[in-house]
Amino acid sequence: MKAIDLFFCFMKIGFLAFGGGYGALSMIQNEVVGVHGWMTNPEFLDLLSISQMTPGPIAINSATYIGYKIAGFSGAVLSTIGVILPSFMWMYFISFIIERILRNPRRLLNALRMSIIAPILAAGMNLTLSTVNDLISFILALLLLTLLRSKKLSLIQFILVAGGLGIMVKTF
Amino acid sequence: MLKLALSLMKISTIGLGGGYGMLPLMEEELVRKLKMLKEEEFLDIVAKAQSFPGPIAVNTAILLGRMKAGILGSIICSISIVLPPFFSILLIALMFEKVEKYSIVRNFMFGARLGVTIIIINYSLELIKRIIKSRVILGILIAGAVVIVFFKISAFLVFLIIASIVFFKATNREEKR
Repeated sequence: MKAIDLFFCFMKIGFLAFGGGYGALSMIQNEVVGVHGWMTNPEFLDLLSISQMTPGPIAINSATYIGYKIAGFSGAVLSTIGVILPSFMWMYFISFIIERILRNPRRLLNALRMSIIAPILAAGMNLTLSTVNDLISFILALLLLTLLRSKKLSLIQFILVAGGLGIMVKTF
Repeated sequence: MLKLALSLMKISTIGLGGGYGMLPLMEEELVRKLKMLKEEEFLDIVAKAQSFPGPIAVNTAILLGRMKAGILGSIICSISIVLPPFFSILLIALMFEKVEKYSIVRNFMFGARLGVTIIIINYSLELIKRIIKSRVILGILIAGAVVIVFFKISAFLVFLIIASIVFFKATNREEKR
């Protein structure tokens, strides 16, 4: 049953998704595109653009959308529950256990927060390899990076501009 | 409790831009308008929500609920924060299937995909700048990312290995002092 696979897959993701939404995304990309092959990188990016532009936490939006795409409504429900259940386990049980056995639990949490950068960077590299594949996309990517770093736009405006540039480049 | 659940629903209906975009809205609504909790209490909750895994908005909702009504409160609050985006994304997924075939949508997505890729790259650069102070750790992280991408090794495994290296390194340094 795909919906059950999705449930356990998203539980695993939720369990180790340090660093908020982007940490979760890196794990989702690795599992859903890399390990299970449920989606391609471009499909995954479509989903990210959509979740960035709609209200709600990105990790939840992604879980719902992927679940729906792969196994319909039941997939959407189970993936969403799967990704939030581990938060309960952490807040109610594991945090107490860590505080009991470690003298300095902050240090463990800090180590985990630093280490999540590796999967996030990996997801970024992986997606770059699949989207930047000719001169046009390379130039567009550099342009967008400069635009994003100038911090003039919110992320939603930024994606709208990126999409607009896409239409311009492809049409003319 | 009902008031809290309703305002969380409202926040996640209008809160664009993911979890971090919702936090200022929560602060405005719960601390300033409804005066349900003090500024420091809210900041404590957010700090805790950030240091544990999972979507920050959900973690915050779980902790808010726990403060007001224990585990039942947590369940109600997390459902309130998840339901609005759940239905809006389902609706959008349905619509997207319909419009995907038009060339203007495809061209828009061509640009948007690049945009999102850049957002993720930029986010990892910002994280490195903000929380990584040691060159050795930076080297380990980059090596880890390369291993995940080019040797197709599970991101979970690499993440856990790096975390234990960083953790024991920090512990050793502390004990030498």
